[in-house]
Amino acid sequence: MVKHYSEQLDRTFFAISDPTRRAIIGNLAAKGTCSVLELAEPFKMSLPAISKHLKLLESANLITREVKGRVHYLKLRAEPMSEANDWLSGYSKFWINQLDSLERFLMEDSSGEENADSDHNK
Amino acid sequence: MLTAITTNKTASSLKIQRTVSASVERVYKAWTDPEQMRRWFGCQYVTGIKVVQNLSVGGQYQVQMTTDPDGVVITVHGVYQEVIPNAKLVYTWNSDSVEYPAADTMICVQFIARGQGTEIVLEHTNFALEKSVEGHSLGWTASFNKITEFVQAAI
Repeated sequence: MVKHYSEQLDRTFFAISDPTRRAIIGNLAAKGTCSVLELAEPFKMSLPAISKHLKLLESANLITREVKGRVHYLKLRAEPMSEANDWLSGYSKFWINQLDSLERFLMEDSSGEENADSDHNK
Repeated sequence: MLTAITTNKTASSLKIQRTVSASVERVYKAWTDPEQMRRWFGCQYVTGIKVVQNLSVGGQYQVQMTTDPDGVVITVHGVYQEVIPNAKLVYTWNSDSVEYPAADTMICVQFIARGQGTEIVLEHTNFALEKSVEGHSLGWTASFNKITEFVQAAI
């Protein structure tokens, strides 16, 4: 399918569509910088499984990784999340306009009230 | 006129409520009947609306709009997941609009009788991909509120 919008937005929404990844993001949001081990701790999952989620979040640009010796530290990036918020603000506007338009139609076409159950309104 | 709009949004979905002075049957018909959809869908900035409507579970819909005055054609389409006449619709929503893009998002709209009027409760969720796989069980946990706080603090 051709996607006419930001690939980043797509990746952001896909990344946060998984409960484990949302929990990881939540923990990072609460704690700031975390090591991989710290992030893995609340989950009953193998380290490789957590690693896979972290890699996906990383490729979606939602987190950044810093390597200090043998420890990998992860940190949340705010920009993609605020882009996601912008998308929602845009759609709020879209739906409010749609409902305004629907309401205008319902008011103008009040003859439809008695014909609501018929197949065709004239 | 009964008009109340509330917009609640988290970083994942938005919810809009509006009460209109028309019966549930009337509003449902305006929302779903191709002839009536053509008369309000896409606001005043579009001309030449074409509607393909298969209003049943698994059925597809497509709305094609030509924008005024630049003549760009925008297509919105999706598949019905739940159809309860005069009560509730759940459907996927895809749009190739540059201004309002969407790929595999999910709409849930409910029509609730409020006296002589109808309350429309519309929820738009940004992703349907894993949602349908997981059987609509995506409950947003407390962790998500933290994300929203984080994002708001960071902006």
